[in-house]
Amino acid sequence: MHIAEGVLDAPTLIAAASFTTIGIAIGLRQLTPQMLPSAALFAAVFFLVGTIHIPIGVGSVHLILNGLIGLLLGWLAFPVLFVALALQALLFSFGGFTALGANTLLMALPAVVAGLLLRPFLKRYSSSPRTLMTIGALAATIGIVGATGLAALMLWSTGREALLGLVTLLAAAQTPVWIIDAIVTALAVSMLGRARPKIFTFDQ
Amino acid sequence: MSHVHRPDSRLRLAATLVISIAAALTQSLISLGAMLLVALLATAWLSLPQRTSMADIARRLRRVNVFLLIVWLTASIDWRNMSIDEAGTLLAAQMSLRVNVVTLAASILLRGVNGLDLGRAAVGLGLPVALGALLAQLARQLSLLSETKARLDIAMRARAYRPKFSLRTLQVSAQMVAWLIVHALAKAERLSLGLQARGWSATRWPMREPIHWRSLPKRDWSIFGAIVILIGACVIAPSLGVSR
Repeated sequence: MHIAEGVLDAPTLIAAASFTTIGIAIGLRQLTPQMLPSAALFAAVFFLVGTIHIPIGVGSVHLILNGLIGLLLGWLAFPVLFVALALQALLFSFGGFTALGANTLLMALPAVVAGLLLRPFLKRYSSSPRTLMTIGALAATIGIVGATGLAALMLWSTGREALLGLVTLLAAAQTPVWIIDAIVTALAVSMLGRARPKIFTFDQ
Repeated sequence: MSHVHRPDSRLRLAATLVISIAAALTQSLISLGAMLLVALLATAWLSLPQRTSMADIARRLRRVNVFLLIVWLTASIDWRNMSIDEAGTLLAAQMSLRVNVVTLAASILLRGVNGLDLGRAAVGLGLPVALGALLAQLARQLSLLSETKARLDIAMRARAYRPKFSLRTLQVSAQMVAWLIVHALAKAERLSLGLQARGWSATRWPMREPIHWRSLPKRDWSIFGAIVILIGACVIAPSLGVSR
């Protein structure tokens, strides 16, 4: 989910960039040089899962998985998503450099919220596959619904009534993405819990 | 190689940011139209001889303009009264010009810049070193992990797997995600061990110092200055007597 460069107005871009700067500053306090290769690899994974497409009718949707990133990384999601989005802007013109703050905020803030709310349960119930699946689905829900809500808020703040139709369309278009992301995240969290339970405490 | 490709990547990134910020702050359709004209002329001059780069720029423009079509359909028409919404039309026109200007500018100015260059350039412009190092590491690891994913894709196709809208496809996608994460973590552990074995203390960020600003060739500064003046001229065009 990217907001193209040139769409948002200057006050919205500045406000989003300010919040993102705070998020990145908090995330960077947890990042040490030893953790750099792991954090970069998580960013690469996030980058690559965006290329996994699920066909729906004549079109397809791609995975976002910001909820899963939040579960795995907590506040580190801010710097990790920032660099992944910067590279996507460079290589594919997805988003852009002045919209980078806005795009990072809409992906990373719900991810951090999902992490903060659900990570304590992950540690406690990491042996139960059903609970892990529930946590995964909830994380994806917070991630996608949060990102859609923030994108809608930014578009509304830019265009008010003029962009209300676009905001409604955006919210409707994200419904299949949410359902697919929730199922894939639920299954992935359950598989990760079985294969490598320590992964949920990567940054601690 | 064209002139735009010669400057230091910091100046190219700075020029891209200057254009993006100028476009974001500009409301006048005349100014935005002038910027688009300049961007189109620059693209034609620099990229027309190279078919591959034109194809890449066309792909990028197609992607953003599909989104803009949706903006026009939802913002410029009042569907309840079946009439034209003037405020929405103006907003859609401004967005269309801005998005195309910025996409063209980024495509021609940052052509040939890779993730490592971007990390160094961003640090040179004031981004924290940790973030630059993370970006550079991401660029390195991405190519390796992409190869792993490509191998997985081939193996899945060899087993006659075809993605369709079914629970099986979702299961396979989840397996791939989990596998990529586990593989990435195992690789990160091996990487850390390898770096420690080579005596890397991991107390500082692995980032090379950029060339000092004063050491940059005058030609780089001239090109950067010309871009800034050109954009400035486009921004002040309406106040020079041209009204919307």
